[in-house]
Amino acid sequence: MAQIIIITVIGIVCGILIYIAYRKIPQKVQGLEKTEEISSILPGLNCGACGYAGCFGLAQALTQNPELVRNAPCALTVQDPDRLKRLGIALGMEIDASDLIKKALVHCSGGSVSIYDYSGINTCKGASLLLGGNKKCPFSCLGYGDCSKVCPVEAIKIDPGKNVVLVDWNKCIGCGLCVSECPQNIIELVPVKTKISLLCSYTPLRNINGRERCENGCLHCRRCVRACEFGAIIWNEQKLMPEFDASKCTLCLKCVEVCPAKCLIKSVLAENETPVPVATVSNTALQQKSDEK
Amino acid sequence: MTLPEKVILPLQQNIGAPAAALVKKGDKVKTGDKIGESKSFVSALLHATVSGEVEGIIQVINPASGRLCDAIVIASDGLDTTADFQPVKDVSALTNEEIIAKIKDAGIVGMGGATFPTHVKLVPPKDKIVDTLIMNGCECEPYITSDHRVMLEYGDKVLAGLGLIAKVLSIKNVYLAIEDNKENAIEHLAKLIDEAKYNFQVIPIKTRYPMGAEKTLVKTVINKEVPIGGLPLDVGAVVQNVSTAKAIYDAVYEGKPLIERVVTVTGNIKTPKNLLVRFGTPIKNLIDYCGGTTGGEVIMGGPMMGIAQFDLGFPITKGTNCILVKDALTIKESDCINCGRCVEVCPMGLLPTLYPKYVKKGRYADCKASYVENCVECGACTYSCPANIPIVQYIKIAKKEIIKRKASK
Repeated sequence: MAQIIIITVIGIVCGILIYIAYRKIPQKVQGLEKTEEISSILPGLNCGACGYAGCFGLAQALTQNPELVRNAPCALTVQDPDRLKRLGIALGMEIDASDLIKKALVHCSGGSVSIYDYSGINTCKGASLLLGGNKKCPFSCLGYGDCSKVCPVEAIKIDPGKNVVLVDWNKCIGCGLCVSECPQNIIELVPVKTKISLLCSYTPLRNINGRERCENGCLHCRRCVRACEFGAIIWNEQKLMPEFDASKCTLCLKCVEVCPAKCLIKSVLAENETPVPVATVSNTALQQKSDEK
Repeated sequence: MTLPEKVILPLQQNIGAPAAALVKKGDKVKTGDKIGESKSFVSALLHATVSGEVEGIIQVINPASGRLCDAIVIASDGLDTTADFQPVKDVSALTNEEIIAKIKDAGIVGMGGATFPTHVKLVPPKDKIVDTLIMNGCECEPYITSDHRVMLEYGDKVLAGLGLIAKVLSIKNVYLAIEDNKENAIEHLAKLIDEAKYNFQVIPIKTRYPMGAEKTLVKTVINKEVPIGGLPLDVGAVVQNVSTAKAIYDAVYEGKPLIERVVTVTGNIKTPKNLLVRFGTPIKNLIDYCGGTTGGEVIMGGPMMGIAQFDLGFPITKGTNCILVKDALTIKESDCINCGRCVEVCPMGLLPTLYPKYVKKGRYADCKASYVENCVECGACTYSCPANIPIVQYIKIAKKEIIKRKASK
C-alpha cells in the first residue's frame, strides 16, 4: 500500500513539473511553428542527402537562413512543382524551379578507342588506377558504370557498344551522387534550363604524351562561338572550352550544325513537351556522324 | 649502356611536392645541370641526365601513382658534356650541414622504390633519438638483382656512403642487412669492412618477401615494431637502400648529382642484364639493348608491385629498379572463400580479407577504421589468394577514395 502511495505522489509531482515546463519553455523557442510548417512541406523521408539531420534539421536551417534554398539542398522538393510552390509561400520568397533543378550530364560521347586490355576489377575506379584508364582520351568515360551503380533512381544506363554511360533526364533527380563517384571527373550537375551542352571534356591544356582526343572530341575550333548570332556562346580562355548562356540562346541549333566534331547537343527538358533525354540526342548526333561516312 | 637520343624527366620523381621546371624550350643544358627545384622541404631537385637542348615540357601519367605530372624532354646532342662536378678532397673536414646540403643538391631520394627525399630522413625531429642505421641490402622483390650488383661492384662506395650517414646522425649501431641468398655479397662487404676498419655489422637475413620493405626489415633486424602510421624514426632507426648509399657517396665525395641508377632487365628477355641507366631513358631502349623480348607483357617494377605498361616510351625514373617481361595472364576474380590466407601472409598484420568487401559496398570509412592506410601494397595477399581477388587494387581504390573524401571536406 505504501509503495502505491509513494509512486502516486512521485507521479503527481513530476506531472506538475512537466506541465510547468511545457507552459514555460515553448514560448522561448523562436519560430518553432514556422519550422514545423516547413518541415511538413519537406518530403519527410529523413534521407539525410541534404547534409542536415533529417528533414526537420533542414527545416530548422531554412528557418534561420531562407537563402539556403537557392542551393537546392533537397533534390526531391525541387523536383516537385507543387511542393516547391508551398515552400516558397512558407519562406516568403519566390523560387524559380528552373534555377534549382539540376541534372547530371556526362561530358563525353564515348568515341575513344581502348589502348590496352584491362582485366582488373570491373569498375571505373579500378581501371582509372592503371595509367588513367584504358581509353586513348584521358578524359573519356570508361564505361564500367560506377555512376549507374550509385544512382538511386536508375537513371544512368551503360551503352555497351560505345562504353559510355547515358543519363535519362526524365528520371534524374540531380542528387549528385554520380558526380563524386566518377574517377574521371567528367560528370557535372547542370541547371535544367541549359539548352546546349558540350559532350567532351578534352582540353589541350593537359596534353598528355601519346593520349589524344577521339573523333567526337572538341577541336577547340570556336566555330560554335562564331556561328551564334545571339552571343549565347562565350569562349572560356582559361579552360579553352565554350560556355553557354541559356538566357540568350534561342535554340536555333546553328552551333550544333556547324560543330565539325558533332560534340554539341541540344539538351532540353521543356514543359508540355516530350522531354528529350540526353542519351537519345547524343546517339542521334553520333548516328549522323557515322551516316556521313 | 648507350645514351638515349631523348630523355623524358618527370618533375615528380619523389614523394612530396613536385619540382618546378627551371628551364624552358630551347635551353641548352649540360649533364648534371639543375633543371627542377621546389621550395618545399619534402621534395627533391632534378638534374639533366644528358647534355643537349630542352625540347619542351609535356605531360605524362606517372605509372606508379597514375597521376598526371609535367615532364621535361631533353634531346641529347650525343656529347654528354658534364657540368662542373666539384670533388671534395677532404670529406672529414665537412660539417654535417654541408654534407646534408650536398645530398640535397644532388637530388637524392630513397632508391628502393619509395623515393622519399633522403635529406629529410637525415634531419630527424629533435625529440626523436636515432640510434640505429640499417642498410637495406634486401631486394625489393623477386626477380630483381640490382641491389646485389651494386653491393658487389660499388661495395666500397656503399660503405663510404653509409659512413657519411652514420656520421651525420651520429649513430653507433650500423647494421648491413643482406639476404642470405647473396652469399658473395655478404663475404665481399665483410671483407671490405675489415679492410677499411668500419665499425659495421653484417647481418644475413632469411630471404623472404617482402623483406625489402623498411618496416619489415626494422622488425627483423632490431625486433622493434614501427607504430601505426609511424616511420622507422619512431623506433630510433633509419633505413637506407644500398643504391641510396652509393648515390650519397657520389654526391659528397665526387660532387656528382643523381643522374643514373642500376636497373634490372629480366624475365622473357633474350639476354637479361643489370644496366646502369640514365634517368629519362625510355623502357624500349633498355629492352632493345638486352636483345629484345621473347613475348609477354612489360612490367615496370617487380612481379609483386610492378605496373604493366602499354607504352614503352615511358622513362626510367628515380624509383624504377626493374623492367620485367612476363607472360600475360588474365585473372578471373571469384568470390572470397574466407580462407584467411591473405591474413596469414600480410607483413603489416592487417586483415586484407575485409577491404575488397568494403570497397565493393563503398564503405571507405570502414576501410580507414581497419587501418587500410598502413598497407604497403606488397601484393602478398593478392599472390596468395586462391579466389584470384585483386586485393591490392581494391586497397589502392580505398586509399585514393579516402584521400579524395578528405580533400573534399
